[in-house]
Amino acid sequence: MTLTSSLKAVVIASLLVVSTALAGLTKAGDGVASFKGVGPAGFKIEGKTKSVDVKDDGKAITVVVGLKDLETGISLRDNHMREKYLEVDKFPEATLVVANDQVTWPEDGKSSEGQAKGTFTVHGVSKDVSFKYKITNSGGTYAVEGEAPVNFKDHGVNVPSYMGITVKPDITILSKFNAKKG
Amino acid sequence: MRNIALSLSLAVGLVSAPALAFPWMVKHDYQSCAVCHVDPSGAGQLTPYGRAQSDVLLQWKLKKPSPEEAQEPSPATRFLWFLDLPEFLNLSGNFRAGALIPIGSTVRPLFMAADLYGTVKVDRFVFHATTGLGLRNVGPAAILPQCGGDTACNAQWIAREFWAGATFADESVMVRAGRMFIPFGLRNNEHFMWVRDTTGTDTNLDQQVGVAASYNGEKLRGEVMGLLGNYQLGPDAYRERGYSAFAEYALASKVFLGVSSLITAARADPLFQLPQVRHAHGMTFRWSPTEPLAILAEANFLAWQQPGRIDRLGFAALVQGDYELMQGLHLIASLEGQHTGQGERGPSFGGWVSAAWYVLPHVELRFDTIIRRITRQAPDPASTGVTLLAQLHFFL
Repeated sequence: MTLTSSLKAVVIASLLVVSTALAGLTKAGDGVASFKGVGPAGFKIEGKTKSVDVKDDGKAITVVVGLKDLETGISLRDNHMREKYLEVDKFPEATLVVANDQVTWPEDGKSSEGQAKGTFTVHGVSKDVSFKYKITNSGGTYAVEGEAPVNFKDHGVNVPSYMGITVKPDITILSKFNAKKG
Repeated sequence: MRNIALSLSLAVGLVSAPALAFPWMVKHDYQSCAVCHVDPSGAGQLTPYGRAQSDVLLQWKLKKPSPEEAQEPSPATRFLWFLDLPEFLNLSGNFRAGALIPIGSTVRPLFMAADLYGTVKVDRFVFHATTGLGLRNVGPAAILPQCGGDTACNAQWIAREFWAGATFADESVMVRAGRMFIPFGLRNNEHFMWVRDTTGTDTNLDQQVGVAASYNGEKLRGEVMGLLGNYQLGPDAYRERGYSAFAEYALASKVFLGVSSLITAARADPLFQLPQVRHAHGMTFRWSPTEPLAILAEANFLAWQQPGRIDRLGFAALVQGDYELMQGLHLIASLEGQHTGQGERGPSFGGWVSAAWYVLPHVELRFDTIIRRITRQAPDPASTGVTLLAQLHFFL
């Protein structure tokens, strides 16, 4: 092997190592994000959207949820939620940013679960959150689900109140998606 | 002749109107009835939120609006179609009239209800009362005049509910005392179906005086009531005392399983004038597999115990599917069965095909076709009757 060819081999190997290290997480298939809230006398509300995307810059994973399609099953309530409370024209997305080292990615055929920390942004206001997660690796596809308690007053969202029914500001946000590395 | 007998028996049940009750609201994921109804377990007067939902979710619309198209409830949803009330005061009314059309017999006009509802809510305290006019056979709900035996009153002053309560724990708990609906089974709109009639839990006429505590949580709801009797009936020996209770748990989103139980004792039953202990224990199920469809089911075991007589055992069951063709237009199919343990040669069965059209704010048109095969004691033969029922309902 000549010096030139040896150098080429080293450069190629180095590039391979670097590209593997930067192998980003990408969403595979559909995802869903939702929130659950409660009010007086057994009132409950659940909003859902399939507008979920995942970005990975090698340092942190960002889960991006589009809020313009968030639905609760009642059109007028959706209208109020999007326009009066979340103001989706100004703040169309909610994001959760999680450092890569916060979660454990399991080997093929195994699962990992635990508690992690991230930064949740909605209505233009970011706050640190602690969330529960579970990741299952099936043939290199990671099924990811997470759940976090959020107080929407902390994010500057007005407390929804309608005809004597007021939603409690402590809600639970949930997300499920499949992702692949590389 | 058999049709006439069946129609008469239906008419007796129908002379007063069913309270508004929509257990199919599970299709919108409303498990708790307390959000929309003053009664924490459902039926009867609507809260201001329920009144708004009656426009948003109940009223006929050719096309479900998108969130961008969604309109605020029409001003016509107010009391008397126009009147704004102070926040502490809730007034409304329930007027229903119709006609019973037995196949092969005479059409019978029906005056079914003319009730006014009033609720005052001050802080955690709630005071609720209804009053109205009844025409014939509203005995259990009538205050004056009292018409016993074969005497039928032409007009009676009636009061179905009057109670006072207090809420706790962010309105998830309510404690009440007074005359109220009996907590048992589904609060279905068809109040004279056998599951209501044979259990003595008709939301129309079977209210009782008692003390009750209800709970409406995120997944669990229920109510238990100590029954002290119907003080609009006399003499005291006929008054049933005991308990009634139900609980319902959300197994999953839009899937609910419930249990009910009732035991009462009276010193005399109207039929044999003997002391009687009455049991009803059963289960309910509500499920909305897709948004337009709701499946409701109830099955109850029944028993009557009297000294010196063999215990009577029976059942009452109902399966109902409610399909919303478009918002505000419901097609409803129901199957029901019962056995009252009175020596019938087998169970009786019934089938209903119904359409309910919430055509305007506060206005419902409803048509029912009711087929019932009634089994009797030997040697009386079983009879089958078909009856059409048309109703026009205004709720103020």
